[in-house]
Amino acid sequence: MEAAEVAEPFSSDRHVLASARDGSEEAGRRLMADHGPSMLRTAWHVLGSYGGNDAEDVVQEAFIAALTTEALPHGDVGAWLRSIAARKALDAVRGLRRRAERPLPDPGAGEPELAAGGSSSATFETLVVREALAALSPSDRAVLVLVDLDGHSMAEAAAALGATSVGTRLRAVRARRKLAKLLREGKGS
Amino acid sequence: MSDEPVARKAMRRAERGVRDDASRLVAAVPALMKEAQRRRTTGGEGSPSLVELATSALPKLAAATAVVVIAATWIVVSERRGAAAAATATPASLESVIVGSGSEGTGDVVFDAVLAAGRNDG
Repeated sequence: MEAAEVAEPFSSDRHVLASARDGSEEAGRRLMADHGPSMLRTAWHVLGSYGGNDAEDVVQEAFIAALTTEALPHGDVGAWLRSIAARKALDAVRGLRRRAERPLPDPGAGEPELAAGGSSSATFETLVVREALAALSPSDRAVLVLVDLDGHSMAEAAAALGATSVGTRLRAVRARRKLAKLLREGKGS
Repeated sequence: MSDEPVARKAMRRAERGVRDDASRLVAAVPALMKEAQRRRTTGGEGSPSLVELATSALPKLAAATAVVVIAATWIVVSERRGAAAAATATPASLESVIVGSGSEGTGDVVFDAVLAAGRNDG
């Protein structure tokens, strides 16, 4: 009985996804309203730009991919959409680098949002964290988002990012170590 | 100590204060669905572009070219060494034929026999 109650929201989201794929705009809007914010946050993390417009472009691409692909999510639809957003954000960063159109996004791009609320010490701490995250590579951030923030397994994160499970695990360990070191240094300065 | 809790806390901290307003995205849904429909019918999403293919193939081609160049260089160098060794060895062979002290002979059985007979007579 309990299992059915737990599984219900997932099956409901799947139904919304299926309806959106069939062309229901209402289902599409609901899908975006429910999962767009978390997809935006995922894109911001990977892009290293908190509040930048690029994240919206990434989410739009991820949304189109979710409606276009033949693949279906095995579990949580939201987590599946966020993994697509992470992959699309990574592709976007690589595309920008390849074309050398402009430098990587400014890590301080989220400052206007921060100025709106919160104490100055909390704001400073958030900026320190963002600066430390910006020092990581986009691939490192993508792994941390999927594994540490979203709770994906290493295998799921690897599949989402088109990498091997072992490589993803190694990347996660290195990225965590580097982030912890950067945070220690940032707080110490 | 594990760095995982530190990373998780940092990721959550970085999200604080951001405006994750998806209203513009929701408004764009009809256009996005039309684009998805267009890609489904044209199969645009399924087939990788030439640029993507080239991006994945170029490093492999470069590595293969490097291996071929190294192999070709090694062959040329080893052939030159062989030729140089042969060039230094050839005068000695001629000398041995002329003087008649070579242990390997001239390569001509009849000529070797004549030379051997001459040496025995002398």
